[in-house]
Amino acid sequence: MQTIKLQSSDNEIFECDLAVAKCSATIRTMLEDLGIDENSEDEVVPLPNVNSAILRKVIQFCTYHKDDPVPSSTDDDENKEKRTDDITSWDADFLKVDQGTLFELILAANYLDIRSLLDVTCKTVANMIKGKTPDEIRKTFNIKNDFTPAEEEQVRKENTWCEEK
Amino acid sequence: MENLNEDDFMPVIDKLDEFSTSNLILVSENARNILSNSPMRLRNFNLQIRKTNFRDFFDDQNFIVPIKNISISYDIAMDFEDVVRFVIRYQNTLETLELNHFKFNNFNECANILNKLKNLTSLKLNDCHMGSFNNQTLPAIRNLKSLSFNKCDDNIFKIFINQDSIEKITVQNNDWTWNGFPHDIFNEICKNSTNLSHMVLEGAGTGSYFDGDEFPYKISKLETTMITFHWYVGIRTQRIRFLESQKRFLKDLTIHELPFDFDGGRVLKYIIEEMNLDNFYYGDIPLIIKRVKQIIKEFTASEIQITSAFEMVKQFVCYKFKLKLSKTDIASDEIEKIINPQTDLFKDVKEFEVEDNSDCRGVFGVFLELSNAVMDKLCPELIIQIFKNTDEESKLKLALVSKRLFDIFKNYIASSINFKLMINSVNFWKLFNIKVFYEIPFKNISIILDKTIKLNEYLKFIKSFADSVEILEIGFFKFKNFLSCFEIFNSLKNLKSLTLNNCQIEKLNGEAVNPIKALKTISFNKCDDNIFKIFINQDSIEKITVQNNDWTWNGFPHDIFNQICKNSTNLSHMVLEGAGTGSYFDSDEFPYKISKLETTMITFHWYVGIRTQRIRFLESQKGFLKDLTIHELPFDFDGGRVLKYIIEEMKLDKFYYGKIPLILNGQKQEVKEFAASEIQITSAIEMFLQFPSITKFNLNLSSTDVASDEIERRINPTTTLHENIAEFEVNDKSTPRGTFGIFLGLYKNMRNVKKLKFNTQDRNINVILEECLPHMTRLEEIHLTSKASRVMERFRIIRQFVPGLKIISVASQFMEDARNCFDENVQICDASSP
Repeated sequence: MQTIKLQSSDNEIFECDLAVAKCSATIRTMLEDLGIDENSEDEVVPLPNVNSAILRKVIQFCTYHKDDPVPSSTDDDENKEKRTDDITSWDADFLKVDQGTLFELILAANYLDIRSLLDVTCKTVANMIKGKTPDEIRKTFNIKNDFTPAEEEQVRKENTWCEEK
Repeated sequence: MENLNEDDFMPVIDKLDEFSTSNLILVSENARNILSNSPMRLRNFNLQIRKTNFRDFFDDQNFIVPIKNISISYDIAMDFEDVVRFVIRYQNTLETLELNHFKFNNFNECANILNKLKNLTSLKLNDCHMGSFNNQTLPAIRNLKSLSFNKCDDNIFKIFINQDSIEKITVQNNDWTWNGFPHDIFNEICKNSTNLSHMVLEGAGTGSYFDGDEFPYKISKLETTMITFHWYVGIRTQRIRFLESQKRFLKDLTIHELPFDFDGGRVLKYIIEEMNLDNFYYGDIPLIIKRVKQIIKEFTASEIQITSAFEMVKQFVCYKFKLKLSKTDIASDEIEKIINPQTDLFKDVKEFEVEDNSDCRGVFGVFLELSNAVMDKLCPELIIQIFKNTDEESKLKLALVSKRLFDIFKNYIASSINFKLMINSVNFWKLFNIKVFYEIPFKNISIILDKTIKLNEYLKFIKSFADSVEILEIGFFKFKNFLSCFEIFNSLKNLKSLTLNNCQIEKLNGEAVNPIKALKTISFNKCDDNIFKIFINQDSIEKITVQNNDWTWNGFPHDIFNQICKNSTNLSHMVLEGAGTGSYFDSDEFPYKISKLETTMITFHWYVGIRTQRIRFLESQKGFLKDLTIHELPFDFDGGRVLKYIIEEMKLDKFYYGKIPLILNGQKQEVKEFAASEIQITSAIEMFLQFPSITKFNLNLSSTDVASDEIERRINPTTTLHENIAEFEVNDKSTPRGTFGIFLGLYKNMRNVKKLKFNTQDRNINVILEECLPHMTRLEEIHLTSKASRVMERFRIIRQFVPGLKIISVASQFMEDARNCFDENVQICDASSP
């Protein structure tokens, strides 16, 4: 098994299966750009935007999903509402994390260009949003209502609408 | 135990606490010898004396271990003079002494113990008191390097005022009162200890010390719970006189609490930027090591350390911040002033946790602005990713959560035609009243009207988005006259697609909507004739759709529809959905040319009759129509001819039967399977003729009245047409008419079928099987849902005529009979299972 070393933003080194690392399009590109191949044993790929805790989770995800087929995509798919009830039980368990970690995983998936991870994390957040009123969404994500008083009045009316439902 | 050697004995001792070890060496000579013979163990061993073991130690004259460390917890039951004598017994070896709970009556009692301990290097006094003080102080204990006070009274402090050899001094005090320990006497001790370099102030009660005016010493190392005095509720400027006094001398600082109060941040800044420390720890967290600022993986602050927390994220790269809220009374206005301004200070904080112990005081909400960091870390593109995973209603609600999300949503809408704003009577008024909503350039709006809201209100709402809306769907709009709809349709300049569901105009005098230049697509579903009429002048339409499930001739006005199509000089794509549109193909005129047609039917279906289909529509589009999709094969006994005409004469580029491609790029495809009903039997025969590659055929029988003689005439002649069919299925829903038997001729022609499914409850099943099975010589698998009687006879027929049978599925109640009837190598299945 060929391995590769990945360095997190807090300087922790992770040795992982090359096939696992290549789940990330960003890493694939970096390997090409840096001229790192399977024989470059001592080379370390720096990932300054991902800390060790998150990188550990990302590697765990990619290790589990490394043999999954690459999902196809079209522009049409991008614009349509996606299903969010198709998260596998493994992924659901994997994403039973605090919000900070969940959002951090979204950022990492985006930076590392791991579409499957980005999809499932965004779906998880979407599921946390669905069925909630704006006020409940605020409470869930600790978001402040920063509309002006006049706007706020309107928003309050909107909330009433949500509650009526 | 006494025979154990050191290697065996020490693991036992190592598991004991110091008091138990002390008692063990009292009773075990072996343990005592092991201890005495090991200088290392002796140095680390601390003899614990309490009232329960004191007398035994004191009386044991054989106990001659050269103890170096003793901790005595005094109790009134112990004879004080004997305690003094016991300590003095070790005056030549004792190096560290801990005195707990000693209540000296006077100076002499204390001096009697301490004066003779020439080698004492460390002295700890816990909860010690002295009844009276007569200005006498202990002479300097020459080797005393470390002195520690924990909850001792002032007199105890006073007698140590002349210990000039002390290098490390410790005060423990968890008492929140001002005079938790005597600052002035403590200062005096420190001042006189010319070698003092290391100070430890443990416990929240030591904080008040830092509010002092004078600090008459210089130390290089400080470990302290607090670094300023905490005024608790107040807002005040922290005194940093202590820090100023130690500047350039203090090199190694550990604080267990970040500076408190609203000035805490400034104190922390001073420590980091001005003190020039070599090492700086916050608890176990290294902040500065060898003058280098460290990356902070995680730190915790309470609500009264909020400014320090801000300074932390300003000074260091911090990955995780934990806010711990207590029941402390806080000035919430002041806190909000600090935390509310938008800041990217927390940009590195990837993880944020709030532990809210504020209970009844409930300050959780005060820190709302801080928490925003988690969601706000996502860039708009990622928020849009989340938008895309939610339904339309959730998107709207998410947009109304905060200004930032609203702005992202607005931009998303501006570039997305796919978001459909769906308005109904439940949400209309609420959305109608939200002014910010009108800032969103909705492009795709769907409005379903009901009687609770006036049409005019809906029209006003639509007009608000007149500039942005590109796709509009309206449902159940009942216009009184042209005037009531004119304004709205004429204002939608960017409208590209219009869908009208169940719309009507009561009275019309020949008026029509001006051409909407952008309009490319129009769709009518169950609209009245007047609605068709007002769109007669839309010359830009490229695609027209009519939906009609109504089986009546006048399901939609063919002549007006034709007029619209005729005037739409760009029309290329027509969609006729629903069985009710079939009558349109029985028309005489089709005054347009289209290149693409999607339609449920392609001819008018006379239902029962046998007639020659009119193919005038097909003839009218011949040479122009290139892309055709039909959802139903042509019906009736002339359907086959229509299908043949389409395939052979129309010269189509693409031809689909539902989702099955029959022609692509002008070439016939290898069709594998299809389904047809009894009234499409001639189309089915034509399918077999045109596509010999078909290996699977489903015949769906309904309760339609069919001309059975005519059918039999078509299917009975023996033919090789079905030789490639390996899988044949009949789904018989013809009850009570019962047409299953009519198709026997077809069944007999399925000579090469390997898998046969008869989903029928026809009571003549046994007869049919007896007739057709002898012709199906390659049959391996039979699926019968029949629950008809005479099952054993049925099985006998199958056994007789299907020697190569491998699998048989039967109704569940016949499973056992089947098992008894067929050989073991025939697999018996339940036909009700999928």
